[in-house]
Amino acid sequence: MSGHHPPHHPRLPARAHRAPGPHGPWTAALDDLRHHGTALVHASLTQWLPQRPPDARLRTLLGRDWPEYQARAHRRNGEQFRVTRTLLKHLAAAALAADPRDLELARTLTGRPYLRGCDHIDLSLSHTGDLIAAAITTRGLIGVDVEPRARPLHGRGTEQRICTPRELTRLRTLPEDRRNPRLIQHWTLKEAYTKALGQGLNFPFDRFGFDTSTDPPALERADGSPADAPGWTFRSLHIADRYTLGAALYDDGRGRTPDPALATALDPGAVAAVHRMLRR
Amino acid sequence: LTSSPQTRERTGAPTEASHTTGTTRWMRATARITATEHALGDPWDPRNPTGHTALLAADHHGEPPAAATRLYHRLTMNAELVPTALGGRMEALDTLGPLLRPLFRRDATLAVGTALTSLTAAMAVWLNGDRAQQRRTADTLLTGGRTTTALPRLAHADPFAAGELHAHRGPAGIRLTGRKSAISNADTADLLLAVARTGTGPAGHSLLLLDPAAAPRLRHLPRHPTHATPGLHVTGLEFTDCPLPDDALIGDWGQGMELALRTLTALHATVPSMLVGTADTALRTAAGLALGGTPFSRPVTRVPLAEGALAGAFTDLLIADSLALTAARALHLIPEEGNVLAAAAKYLVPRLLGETLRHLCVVMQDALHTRHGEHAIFQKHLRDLPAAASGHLSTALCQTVIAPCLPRIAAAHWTAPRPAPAALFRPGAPLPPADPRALARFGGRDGLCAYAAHAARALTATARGTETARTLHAQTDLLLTELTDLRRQCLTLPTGTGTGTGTGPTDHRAFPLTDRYTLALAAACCLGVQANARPGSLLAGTDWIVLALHRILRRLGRTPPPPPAGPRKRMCEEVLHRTRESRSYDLYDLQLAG
Repeated sequence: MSGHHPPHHPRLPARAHRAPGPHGPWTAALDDLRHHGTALVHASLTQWLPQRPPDARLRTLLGRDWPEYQARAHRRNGEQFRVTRTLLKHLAAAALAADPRDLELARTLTGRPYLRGCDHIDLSLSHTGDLIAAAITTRGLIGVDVEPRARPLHGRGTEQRICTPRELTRLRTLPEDRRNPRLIQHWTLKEAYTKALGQGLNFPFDRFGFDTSTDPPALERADGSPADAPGWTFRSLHIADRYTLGAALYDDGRGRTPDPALATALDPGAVAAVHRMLRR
Repeated sequence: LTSSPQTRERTGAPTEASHTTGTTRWMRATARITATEHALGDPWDPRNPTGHTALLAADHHGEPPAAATRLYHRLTMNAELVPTALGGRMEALDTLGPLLRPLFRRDATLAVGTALTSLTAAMAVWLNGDRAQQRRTADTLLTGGRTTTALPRLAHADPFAAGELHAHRGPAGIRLTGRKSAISNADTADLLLAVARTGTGPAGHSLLLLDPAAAPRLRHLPRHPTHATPGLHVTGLEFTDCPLPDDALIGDWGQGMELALRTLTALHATVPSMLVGTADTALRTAAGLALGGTPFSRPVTRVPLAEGALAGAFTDLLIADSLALTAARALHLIPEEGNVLAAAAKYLVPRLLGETLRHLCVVMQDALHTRHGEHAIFQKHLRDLPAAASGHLSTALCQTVIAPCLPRIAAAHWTAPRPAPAALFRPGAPLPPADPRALARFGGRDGLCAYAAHAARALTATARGTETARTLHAQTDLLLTELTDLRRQCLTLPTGTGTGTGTGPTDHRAFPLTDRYTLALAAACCLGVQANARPGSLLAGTDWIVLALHRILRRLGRTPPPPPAGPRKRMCEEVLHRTRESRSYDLYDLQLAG
């Protein structure tokens, strides 16, 4: 063996970076985006809530979301809405080297967020209690979900609805105290996968499963056999010792975009040719 | 397509005949679609050598589907890519997509590997080549040969647009140097169209047509693996100071980018229609599963989520087909507006179909995760659709065409009642030949948004009293609001140099505005198709249009009232009916082989 090998960069990074506020720093996340084609970040709602820009700036920052923010303003989730939208926009703007006010965060018919007119990146968002998690990729589709590890799921009948028979069997072989964290892990992976597909809870969770005895976790069919899911990668992470994060990535084979900057998205030579043809 | 008199069709206002069952040209096309369907046979029959089982097996082994490729040539389908004036069967651009749909229904690898790869290069020759170059290309295709394209290096390049060929012209003739690692069919192509860099600055590219077998100092590079359409034969070529004859040059030296963009307009206007075929099979798989009752304990019409997914997917296919039809016909009827409309179709249709196919996962459920058996084709089509559409590379090129035009388009009036030619929206109605010179003039104008406002008002004027009519009124108001807002925002974009000087970047606000503009155009096309459809037909009714406008407005970020349950129920029933009868989920409702 001779020569050097580039470091191996899995398609989903093994860490999520803390984002202290709208102005970053985003350096670590952007490094991951460059090397892995994907970045995961998390933020504290309490830390972000007071970082509210003045109305005039917030209005241009939220753009077409401003009316919805105003409509929610007197409800509890109004400021949460502001923070999550702001986080996604600043993360995307950092990746695209753009002004967040120039971007539009839109939603598909099933409510999945995406950056309008920028199909070379994909985003996902999850929020529980004080924790917000966001993911961005240049590889294809991404889904992310977070839950508190202590959230009681096990023993309430939930597992019958969200697990395949195979998953239930494996769950029952575990010591009692490990069952709830395992169920949380499966729940977040399932949420992440169906969110990446844009379907969320519309895709019944007992119609597919995960084998989490392997790393990375492997997707299974309803009968417990391995799923044919080429291009998909899954990952579970712990955040701040209290939360479990599930991430699902679909790599559509386009290869990594080394520089997703919006300024270089359109080929300057082709744009110039269009202008010449317009003037003719 | 070429400007020869043989291709000319009678022009003028659409006749009554064109408004009924279709013209002779359309009847000839549908007869050929039926013949192709019949020859390819029932795709769900596991013993069919050109059916899904065989296609999936070839896909699994990463090889082109052999029997289907042989059948493609036995049916002389290359002739569909060659204008009639040159001895082929291509009469006009609006039938090209529907004629190739039988291939796209079955396998994107098959369709791209046989037809689309050759078409991309051939279209450049039809639009820009001289008589001898056209003759040579036509002869190649009509004798079962292949043509392909070495793309230029572009920003945000995928492997197909990475690497660059350089050419220079001196006393010793033209010399070509450089390496491209990903060219579809590079190892088997009889003719290669190279978009080569020939200088810096504005006149930086030239188009060259060459026979790889006759090119000295050309090295073939190994196969380039592709994740989607893995059976596609993608390999590389490396030229080292390769001499080319003078007649290799297409058009003028240095004009390659303009000639490529003109070619792109014709491809933008025809490829979206082909992709409808891929989505048709995916919807057929989901509908078949739903009819079989596998995923649900109740009939699918009593599971609102599934009913909504099936009706929604059918609606999206009709939206896509309306946009595709209008874009293709516009190149004949209003070519100076065609560049933007065609780019809008190419931009929006793959995105719309991809989103709707993923929504069908709620019907597919467990069957989404299999590569074997009768449902396996769904996963393959879902994977292949973006690749067949050339993914982000193509999206960026569409944005390149649309974004600089937005300020000009916005400067025109959008709300005055301005009739778009009704013939734009009528399948099979007579068309004048497409004039390559007109395609080179990027008009940057658009009469369709003005038409949308006009047509929406006309539609609501005739619909009264019912819940659907009330919904249509609300939808029309929202569409008019959106058009006004969109135009206002496009007017704030810098004109002329500001949206891209050629060296400076495009204004970032143009990216979301381009997306919204394509959705507005989709609404205009749907309204046009509805208003000009045969009275009494599904397309002339309000069920599909009320669902289409709802979906378009929501995608525009608006909040329309929920549509009444009736249209959704009836559209789902229509899907199930067409599934049982093996009829196409598009504007044409054609008989399929399965």
